[in-house]
Amino acid sequence: MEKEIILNPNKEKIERMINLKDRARKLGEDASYQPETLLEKLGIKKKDTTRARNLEKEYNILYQEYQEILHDLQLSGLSKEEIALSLVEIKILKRREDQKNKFDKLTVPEQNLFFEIKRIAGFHVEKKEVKQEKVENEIKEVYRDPSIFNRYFGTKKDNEKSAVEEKIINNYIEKIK
Amino acid sequence: MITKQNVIIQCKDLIEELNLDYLSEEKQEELIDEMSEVVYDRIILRILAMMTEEDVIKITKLIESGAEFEAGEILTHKIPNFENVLKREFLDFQHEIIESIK
Repeated sequence: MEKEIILNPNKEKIERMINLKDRARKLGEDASYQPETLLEKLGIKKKDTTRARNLEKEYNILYQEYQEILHDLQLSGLSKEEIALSLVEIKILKRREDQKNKFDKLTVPEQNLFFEIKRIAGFHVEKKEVKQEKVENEIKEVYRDPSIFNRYFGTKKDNEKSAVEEKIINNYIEKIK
Repeated sequence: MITKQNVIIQCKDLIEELNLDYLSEEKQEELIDEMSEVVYDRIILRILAMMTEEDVIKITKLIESGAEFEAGEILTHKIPNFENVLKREFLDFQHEIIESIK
C-alpha cells in the first residue's frame, strides 16, 4: 500500500478545485431534490423557491472560486491538459490515502490475504512484515471483546480464561502466522 | 481470478477517455499502473469485507502452501460475483475520475 508521494507544486490549489467540485456536485444533487408541499401541488400556494435560490447562489460562489484557481494555474503556464493530469493524479492520491486508512483497520490475517491476492494477481508486492505491535493489539482486542474471543476460541467461562491464556496466545499467533 | 492485466486493459481505455493519450508512453504506463493498483486494492478491500475471519485464514494458508488454485476456487465460491465487483469498482473509479476533470 505504501507509495512514494511525488509532490505537486500546485497540490493545494488542485485539491481545492477537487473539493469545490465535490461540494458543487452535492449542491446540484440537493437542488434537484425539492419536494413540493401538498398546498403547492394543489396550486393553492406558490412554490417556495428560497432554498433553490440560496443553493444557486452558493453554487455560483463555488464556481467562481473554481474558475479563479483555474485561471491562476493557466497564468502560471499550465495548459488545460496539464491541469487535467494534475487533477487525476491528486484524485488517485486521495483515493490511495483513503484506502490506506481502510487497509490499516484490517486484521493481521486480512492484511496477509490482501498481499497474497495482490501478489497472485500479478502486482509487485514487497515481502510482508507483520508488525509485532499489530499482533499484540489484536491479542488485546481478542481479550477485550468476548464475542471475538468466543469466535476464535469457542465459549469459555471467565474462570477458565486465565488457565488457557497462554494456549490462546500461542493458538492465535499460530493462526495468523 | 481477476488479474492485474484485466484491470490494466480497462485503465488504458480510461486514459483515452480522459484525453491523456497525448502523454509519453512512459507517463501513460506510470499512470495506468497507479490507477490499476488503486482499483485492485479497492477490489480486495471489498472482497475481504465479504469474508469471515475463518475463510481469510483458510485461504491464506492454502496460498502459502502453494495451493493457489484451490484458494482461487474457494474465493470464487465465496464471492460468486467476483467479476461484478471488478466492474462496479472500476465504474465507480472511472466516474470519480471523469467527474473531477469534467
